[in-house]
Amino acid sequence: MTAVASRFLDLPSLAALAHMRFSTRQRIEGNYSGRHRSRQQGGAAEFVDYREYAAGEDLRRLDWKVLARTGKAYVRQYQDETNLLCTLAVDASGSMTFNGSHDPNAGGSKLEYAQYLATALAHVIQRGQDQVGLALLTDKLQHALPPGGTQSHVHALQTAIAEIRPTETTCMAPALQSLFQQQRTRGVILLISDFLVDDLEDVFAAARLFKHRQCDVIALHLIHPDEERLPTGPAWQFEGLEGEGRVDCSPGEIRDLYEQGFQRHCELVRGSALAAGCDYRRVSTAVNYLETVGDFLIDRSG
Amino acid sequence: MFLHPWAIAIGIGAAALPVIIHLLTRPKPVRMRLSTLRFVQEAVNERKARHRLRDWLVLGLRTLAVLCLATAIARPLFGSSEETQAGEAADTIRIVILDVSQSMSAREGGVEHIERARSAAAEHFEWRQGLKANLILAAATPRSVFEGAASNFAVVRDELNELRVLPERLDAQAAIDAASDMLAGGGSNGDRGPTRELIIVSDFQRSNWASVDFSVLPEDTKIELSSVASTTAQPNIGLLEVGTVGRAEVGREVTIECAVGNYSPTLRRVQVEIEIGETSLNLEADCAANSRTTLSGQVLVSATGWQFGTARLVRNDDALPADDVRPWVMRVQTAPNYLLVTRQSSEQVPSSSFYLQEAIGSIGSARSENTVTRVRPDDLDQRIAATADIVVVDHPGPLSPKSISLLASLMRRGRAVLYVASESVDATNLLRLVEASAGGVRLPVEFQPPRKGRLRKDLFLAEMKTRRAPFSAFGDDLKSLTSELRFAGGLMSRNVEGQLADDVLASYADRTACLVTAAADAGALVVLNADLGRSDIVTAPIFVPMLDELTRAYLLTSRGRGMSNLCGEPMVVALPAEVDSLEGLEVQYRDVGTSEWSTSSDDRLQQESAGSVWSSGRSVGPAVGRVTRGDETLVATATVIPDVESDLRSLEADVFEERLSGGRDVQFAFTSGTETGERDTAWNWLLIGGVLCALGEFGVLRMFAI
Repeated sequence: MTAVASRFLDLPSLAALAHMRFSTRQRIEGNYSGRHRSRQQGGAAEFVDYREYAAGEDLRRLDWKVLARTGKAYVRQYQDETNLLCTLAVDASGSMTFNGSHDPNAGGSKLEYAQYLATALAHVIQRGQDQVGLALLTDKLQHALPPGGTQSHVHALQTAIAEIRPTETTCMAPALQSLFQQQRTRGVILLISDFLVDDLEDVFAAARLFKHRQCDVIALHLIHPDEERLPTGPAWQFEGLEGEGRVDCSPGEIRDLYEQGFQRHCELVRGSALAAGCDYRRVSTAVNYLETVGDFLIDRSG
Repeated sequence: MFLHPWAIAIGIGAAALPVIIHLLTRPKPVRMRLSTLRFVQEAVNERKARHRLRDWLVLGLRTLAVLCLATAIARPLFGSSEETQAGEAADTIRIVILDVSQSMSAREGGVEHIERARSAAAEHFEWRQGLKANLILAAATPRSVFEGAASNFAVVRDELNELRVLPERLDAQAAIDAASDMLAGGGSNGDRGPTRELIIVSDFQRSNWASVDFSVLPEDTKIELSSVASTTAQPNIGLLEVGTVGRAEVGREVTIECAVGNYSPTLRRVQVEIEIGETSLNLEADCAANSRTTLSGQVLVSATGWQFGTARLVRNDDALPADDVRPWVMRVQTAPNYLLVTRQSSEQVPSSSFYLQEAIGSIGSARSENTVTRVRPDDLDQRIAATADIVVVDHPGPLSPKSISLLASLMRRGRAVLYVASESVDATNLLRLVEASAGGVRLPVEFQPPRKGRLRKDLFLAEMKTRRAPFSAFGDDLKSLTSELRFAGGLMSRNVEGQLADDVLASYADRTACLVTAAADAGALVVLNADLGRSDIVTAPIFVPMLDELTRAYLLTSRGRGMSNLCGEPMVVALPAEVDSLEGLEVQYRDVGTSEWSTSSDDRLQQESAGSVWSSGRSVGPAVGRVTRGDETLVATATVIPDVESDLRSLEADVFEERLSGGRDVQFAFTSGTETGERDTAWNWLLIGGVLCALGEFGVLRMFAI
């Protein structure tokens, strides 16, 4: 079968990231051996420490040499290494289609940026011998692909990313809760969203569920530069992308208030994410996605 | 009621204009998709909450500003006659009195009052059904366009266009009387007769209007007073009077006095340039606020006869330029001639007439050339009397009717008579003299012969008017100079009710008059009630100087009396007694600022029983006029602007409405564009209100912007 590459997969550009790997700072659980530290200790991997032998333990782990030399029984401990199970949870709400233009087909929307970003990350993760899954979040879990590491799985995943159809919704928490219920593994949840939802508290409550499960939750907050501040001009008619109707106003009179409100929202998202134990990263769509991916990977590896 | 109702429509238009402009220029909104409207809605809601008060305030203030402006332009006239409007459908007789007196040429803001008055009056001559109107041009004599009210307004408007200010005072009562006659001619209003309206357009000077009486008008007359003056008096300085002090005699310095009125709230430095003949005199002084100041200076006159000149205020920029120049004339005479009428012989020494003759001959060092002609009463005739400046009557005995008549005639013509009353018969003579003057002589006392058997002797002065001539000249020495004086003879006297007690200059201890003065037509009469032959005053040092003072103050023509007439007033000037024929006489006038004399045919010269007179029904001027025969000027006079016209202060509205209205419905309003009145100040306040609203709007915007 000949796979058709996603239009968001730019392999020549991604070649620059070939040497980079997606990593996580906390120990995870994987299905296969890999380069990420597992939550499991034991096996024959990397030596970590000694500890006193407790009755009933596996005698194969007893360090006989130490016992002979000191007369005390110690057990050798080793760190297991496993592969990473990463789920790309992409917000597919209407607000993600904002592109700073009246023409919805003009390109440059947050969703398009998220698609490029998710595709690139999936490619990088797969290249790192890790498994990557996909969850499309609207007011429900619209589509979910469990983590997989095969080429065909990633191809299917990238295809699903390319075919995201946004819906006018203002809730995301139910979708995350559904994802939590479906997913049984401890991996990484990469939440790509603009967080312009009504149930922000519930969203991060759901994120806390993942954290309780020892998952690493990373919030990538997408912000379009044109939504940070209102345009100049005498009169504008703003149309909400999530079925909120239209508002006529003179931006000059509310510009400051708008900016203050938006910054408050960004601070709220950041504060909520950090409070929930999530890793937070603010991503401006004005920055090239490759640069964003590179910085993100460097940051994660450090 | 509005002065400019059309401005309301403009105001509504002006109020709607911003809305129309806003609608026409409202920008077409640009559509834009936004991730979420949450922040926009929040911002809009927050802004609404924050600016709701501001928007309401701004809207209110802006609307109020436009309304104030529109209403101000419309000039509301609160309290103006609504009845006038209500009665417009009925027959109406409307009389408009337009003040054309000199004060109406006062300028304010570069516009003369008369121009404002002209347009204000013209508004009342718009044709409408049932309206009949008339215009009375009011000055010294009112003059109406028609005999009664008429509807031919074109003629009235032509008259209005051509009218000019007259250099006259305003006889307001005469104008109101004339209007009353016209209004009364329309029948009664009680039987649904015409509505009567009297409209007066004037500056309502206090001096002209303070005593008018509207009660002469029909009771149902609606009176509308339309003032073109400012409520605050306009500063004005005017020349009020120019003349000589005493008699101008050739070879002597004569004192020229000039009265200046400062009708302004501050002290002003004034400079007056006086020209007379070939001589000029500059006077300068400070004039106190709202007062009359007299400036004086002396000039030496070297030629006899009538001299003509002008007095001019220098560098005086005030509201009424017309009163800055004043023509005047001066008669320069030789030393006065005295005619001593007495039956005493010149050889009777000592005698009363002897002392008088000696004293008169030595009055003043400069008058050493005084000539005293002695004449018996029976020989007194017009030819002899014509040469005398002062007639002294002493011990005349019973005067004949002819002599009495001649003396009265002389006084009427400006001559002075000093009557020394010493005998009982003098009481009769004086009584007949007063009767012959036909009311011209008003003595403050009535002289009566002393009672039989009661000798009048050892009389001493008990009361003197120390501040008046002739006593004022002696100051503190008067008491010592007069305390030893003893008088004898003379007449009893009793005060006449209604006459001026101040004219009794001195009284004896028995309360009889000693020295009495009285105005006598153009001349003067002074009565010295004593027999000088039996009194010791003739030997006292005070006698000659007192006689000198008496002569200068009361007997010689003072301050050019009779040498000026008011413009617009009837004029009668007696020609010199030596003029026995009108043949060859000519009346000429010369306007101020010109040197050419023009002959007048309007004035009359006529021969009367008492002599020849020069008369005019209405003096023209300001100018100087004269009667000549050949190159000789027989008599001259200056016609001048009445000094009351210089005081531009106006009467308050409430004086008309409460005190002078006579029970009539009086409405007072200001009509000029630059002045304010109690009822017409609304537009000013509205304008200020509009500006304050605009400033308030600006302030609100600034306040909410912080």
